[in-house]
Amino acid sequence: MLLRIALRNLRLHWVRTMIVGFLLGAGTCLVVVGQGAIDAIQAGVRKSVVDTLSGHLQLYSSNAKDELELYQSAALAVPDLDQIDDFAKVRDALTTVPEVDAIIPMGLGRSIVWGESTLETKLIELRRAITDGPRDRVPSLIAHIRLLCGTLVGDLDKLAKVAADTKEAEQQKADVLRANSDAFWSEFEKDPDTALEFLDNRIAPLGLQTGIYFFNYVGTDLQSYGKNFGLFRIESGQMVPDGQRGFLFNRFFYEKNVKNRTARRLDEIKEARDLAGALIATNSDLQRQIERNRQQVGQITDQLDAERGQLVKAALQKELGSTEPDLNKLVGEFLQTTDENFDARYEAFYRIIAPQIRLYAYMVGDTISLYGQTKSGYPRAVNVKVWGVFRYEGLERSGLAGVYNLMDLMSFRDLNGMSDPIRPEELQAIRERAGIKTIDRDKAEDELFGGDSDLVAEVDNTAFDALAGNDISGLRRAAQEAQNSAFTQAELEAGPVVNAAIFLKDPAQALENLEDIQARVAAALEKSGLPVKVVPWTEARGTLVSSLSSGITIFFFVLVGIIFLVALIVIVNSLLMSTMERVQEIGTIRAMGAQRSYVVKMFAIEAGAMTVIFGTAGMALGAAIVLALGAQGVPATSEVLFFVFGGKTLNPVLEVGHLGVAVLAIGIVTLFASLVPAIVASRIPPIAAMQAKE
Amino acid sequence: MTQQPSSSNHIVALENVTKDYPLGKTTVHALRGVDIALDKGEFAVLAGPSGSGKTTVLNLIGCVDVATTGQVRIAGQDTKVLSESARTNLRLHTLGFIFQSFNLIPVLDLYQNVEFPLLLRNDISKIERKRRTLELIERVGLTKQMKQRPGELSGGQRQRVAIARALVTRPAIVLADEPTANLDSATGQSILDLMREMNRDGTTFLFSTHDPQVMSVARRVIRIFDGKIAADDHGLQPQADTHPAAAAH
Repeated sequence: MLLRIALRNLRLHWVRTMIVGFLLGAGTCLVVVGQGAIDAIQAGVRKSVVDTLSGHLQLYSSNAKDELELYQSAALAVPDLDQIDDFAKVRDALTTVPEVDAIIPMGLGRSIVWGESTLETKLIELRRAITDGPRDRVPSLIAHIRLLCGTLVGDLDKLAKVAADTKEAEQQKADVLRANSDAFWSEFEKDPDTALEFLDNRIAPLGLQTGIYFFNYVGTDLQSYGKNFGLFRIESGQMVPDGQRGFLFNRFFYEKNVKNRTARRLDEIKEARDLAGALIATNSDLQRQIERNRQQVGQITDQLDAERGQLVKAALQKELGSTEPDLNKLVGEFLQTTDENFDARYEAFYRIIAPQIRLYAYMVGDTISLYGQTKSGYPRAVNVKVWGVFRYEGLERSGLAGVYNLMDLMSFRDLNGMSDPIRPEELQAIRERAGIKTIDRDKAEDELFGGDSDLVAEVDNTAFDALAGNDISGLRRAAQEAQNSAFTQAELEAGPVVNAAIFLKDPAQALENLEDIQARVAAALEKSGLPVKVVPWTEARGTLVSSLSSGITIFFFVLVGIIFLVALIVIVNSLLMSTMERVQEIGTIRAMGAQRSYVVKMFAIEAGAMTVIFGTAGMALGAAIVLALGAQGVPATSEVLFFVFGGKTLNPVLEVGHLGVAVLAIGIVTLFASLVPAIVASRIPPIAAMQAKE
Repeated sequence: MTQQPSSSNHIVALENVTKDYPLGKTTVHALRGVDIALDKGEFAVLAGPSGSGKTTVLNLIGCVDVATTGQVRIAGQDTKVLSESARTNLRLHTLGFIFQSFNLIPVLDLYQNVEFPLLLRNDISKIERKRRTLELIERVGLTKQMKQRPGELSGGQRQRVAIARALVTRPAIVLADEPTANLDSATGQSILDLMREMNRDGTTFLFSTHDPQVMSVARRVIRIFDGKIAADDHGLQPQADTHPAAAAH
């Protein structure tokens, strides 16, 4: 009977009921959808972090001065994490923990790479052509180099007017003129080594530097990394072969930082147009990109020798229907893109220009010289061969996932001066050739700043010049020695690492009882007396990423909170109105002998009925939305979202627990909402029945 | 619970009752010393112009209000010393109400309205509830309209429903506040006839009215004026009893 009264009342005041119902339903729906989304986001972040960088657990030295924060390491200064002295011991210690599937040795680092000017690149190509062939490329390379020297003379003239050291400026100009002279090149064939040395030392540094790159990288057991990190895919080139040194570019980094800037800007404009629907006509960022492309035509034309220049000129003239004879002006005109012609120009760029230029500063097969320093400030360099470009499946557009490139662990150790007991004599040889004396890392301070003068390191100019970027040939050659040396798995594993990633056999366990397993891993390490600590991925990812996912969660709860607060106010208001309208009815019921509690019950049931009806509807709608979104996926539209979604789309999941939480939430809201009106109603005196309405 | 055997033969007993209402800064003296005693089975009218205090008397007897001074005893119980909850219980078991504006619950149909007071009691079985409800609906002649809602009924029909509802709990006293005020005279007459008939079962009826038609059917008319009893005429012969059975009484 009470239920009937409640339902009839709800139907009688259907407008009010619908408003309240809509809020309750929307709130419930949001709770269900929001939880589905949050769960999916948490799973997405977990995937993005665990399957690209952290694994389920991370190990690092308990002597570390800083905390391991995987993503901060790339953004700020490389933290002081000390090192795990012998990875193999850790590996062995953890064989006692059956849940552990794989342990991947790691080290995070950052190196400086001096961006090579076109002149440098051409000189490297020339050296390679002379030593390794093909010899028939030599004439065209020489022609190109002389062309670049020609433009360099003009640049130097301009510089000389503002230069402080006119003497040096004059010397530089003389060098360039010599490099551009017929006499120099006629001598070249007789003694290419000396000529190349001159060009490397005197001319190459004068070229327009393409800047300094910061390469963040993870030094690791690449084979093991590739096997265990689920999102890792080789995009082009190949995996570094087992036992070999090498470098793998992260595709995101490769596209953003290594690609020809004009091409990259075109890519960015295309992405903004395609993904975010931006228009060149209205977007000042895009206009600026186009302006830069127009001004920096040298990014393209400098790379074109006479022959290629002709090819591009002819094709562009045809493409644009222009008779412009000047290649620079022609390219400038070509890059003047609008919303109307962009897609055609973009296509034409990759068809006409891209094949004729070096699209990336470093291509698969190239060797990169990475410069770094040890913790004691000691300069280091390694050369590594680029074997391929990799991507993380679904995270190709994520900047966070795009932070780290990959490198073999041996090169990492060399570059970061981590003592390598396996081949000390080999390193010694390298050092001697580079004119660098070994300094024990632990005693570096003493040796550099105190103690016997005999022990002070003799560092020749080559090393310092190398860091200054003036003459990198010495260190470059030294680094080259190590480049091709192979290593065994035992050598790889027996050395020091900075950190390590642990994968569990059963990924479901990583969700349910990661803490237990973490404790067991910690116990095993302690038992073996290893000063190594273990942290879960949630901690290792660092505050940057955890605040990202917690931020989204907080946003959701605030949103739900606001909706329910509004619902609460509206329900209170509505029930109070309902009370006021029914004063006589309630009075009558009381006069007939209904206790106060009966009236409270009456209101509770009315609110409860509303909750059940609209809560169920809201849950059903929410479940339907979650299922639909889960099947279809919400596309990621920004860099961050790709990471947060753990891929291209977010696929929310529906769980019974979500519905339970929704029931709980709406129940609490209803309870609070009906409390005050019910009490007010129960205080209506029975005498109210006697007071006629009209 | 205060039992006073000396006056226990009266189902309703008001002794020197006053009732004051605060009205802004002044006080309205609605009742200034009223004595009324009703015996079981009486059919009495409380007459007087509006504002005379008759509704106040009904409220006090109906236990929806308490006297300022004096004593109101219903079925031997002093209402003033009872708790709110106990007064509610007294209403539920001893009193029935018929209101001037019927006060049916709009969202319930006729049957449910009549049944409602029984649902408040937990001493009546489902079968008994149904039996009593159907019986009373039949007695007020609305069996055919059982599934209709108050909004679909005429004023007279609604008041019949209200009578059925007031009687379904078999109360000792039925209080009716101007039960015919919202009805035309013919309908009002039929309602009065119906109540007379119910009265024969021994239920005490007390009306408030200023309608001469109502007064003419009463055997006792208590006239109230300015919060005091002006006259109390016992043993009147009801003149306009159109019910054949009533004439024989």
